[in-house]
Amino acid sequence: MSIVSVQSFRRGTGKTTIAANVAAMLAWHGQRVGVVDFNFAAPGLHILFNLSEDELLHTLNDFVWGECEIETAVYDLSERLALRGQLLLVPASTQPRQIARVLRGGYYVNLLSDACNVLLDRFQLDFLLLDTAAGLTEDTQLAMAIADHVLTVLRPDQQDYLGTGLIIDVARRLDVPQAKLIVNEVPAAFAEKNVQREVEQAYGCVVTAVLPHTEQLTLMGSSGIFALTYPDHDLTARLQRIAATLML
Amino acid sequence: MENFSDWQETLLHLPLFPDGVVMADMLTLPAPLGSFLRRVLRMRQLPLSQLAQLLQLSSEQAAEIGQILVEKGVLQRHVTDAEPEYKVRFAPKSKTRLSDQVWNALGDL
Repeated sequence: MSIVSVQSFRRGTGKTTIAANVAAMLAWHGQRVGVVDFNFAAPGLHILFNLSEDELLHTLNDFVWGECEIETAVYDLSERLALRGQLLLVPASTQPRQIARVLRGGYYVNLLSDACNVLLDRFQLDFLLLDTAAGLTEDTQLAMAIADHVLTVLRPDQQDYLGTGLIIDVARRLDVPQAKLIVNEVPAAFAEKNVQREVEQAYGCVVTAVLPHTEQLTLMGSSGIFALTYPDHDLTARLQRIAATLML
Repeated sequence: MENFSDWQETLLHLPLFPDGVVMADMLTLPAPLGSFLRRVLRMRQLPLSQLAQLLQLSSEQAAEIGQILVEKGVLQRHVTDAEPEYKVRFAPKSKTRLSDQVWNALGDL
C-alpha cells in the first residue's frame, strides 16, 4: 500500500484534475484506490466525480470535528465509473459554513494521519491519493511527511518555478522516498523534451510526465474524469503512464 | 546516535512541547531527533519492539526513551493488550484569524 500526495505551490496548476484522473486510472487497472480531498479551504474533488453536494451525508470536515467515523465519509464510485478495481472518495465539504468552521476552529492535524491509516487498513487499499491545498500549509507538509510518493505539479511559468523549488526542498527534508514532478498545461509551441530537460536540471528531480494544454479538458470544465471520457486521447495515455509508474 | 546515554543526553536539552509538535518542528529539530520523529510519523504508529529497533536499543531502554519523549510532549503512547504503541503528538492546527464580520458572512458561526 502506498500513499501518494499530489502537491503544488500555486493554485490552479491542475493538481486536483491530475489526482482524480490518476486515481481513476489506477482503479481502471484493477487497483483498490482511495482519494481524499485534503483541501479544506478550496475543496472540489467530488465535483470532478459528479458527486453532488446533496449526496454528501458526511465529509472529511465532519470527521475532523469528531462528528463521524472516517468510514462513513467514504463514497464508493467504482460502479458509477465502471472501473475494474475500486475507487473510494473522501470529499471535503464545499458548504461555506463548513469551510469557515474548519478554518476558524482549527483541528488536530494528526486526525488526517489517523484517517489515512484507517482508510488503508479498513479498505485494504493499494493506493491512497491525497489532493492537498496549494502551498506549504501544515496539512500539505503532513501529507508529504506520510507519503511514499509526492507528485508536485507545476506549469511552465516563472512563479511556479520559484515555489516548486521550495516544495521539492521540503519534500527532501521530510525524507520523501519518491518525489517527482509533473509539468502541466504545456503550450503546443514548447518543445516537450526541452521542458522536461530544463525542469529536471533546475530541480535535480525526475519529471514523470509533461502534460500538454488540452482544449477538450478545458471544455469539460471539471464535469467528469477526462481519462474515462476520452480513453483514446494522448493525454489519457500520459495519465496512464503516471499511474503505471506508481504501480512499479 | 545508537547509544542509550547519547539519547538521554540529547533529550535532556529538548524543550517541552506542552501542546505537541507542529510540522515545522519536524524540519527544525536537531538531526537525530528530527530524523527519528520523521520516521515515526512515516511508520504511523509503532509498537515498543519497533521503537527499540528504530532507536537501536533494548526494549527496556527504548521504553525509557519513549517515556521521556512522552513527557516532553512529542510522542503519545497508547496502551494496548499486547505492547504499548507510540505515535507523534501533534499540536492543534492554528486557527485562521479573520474579523468576526468575515466569519459571520461565511456562516454566522
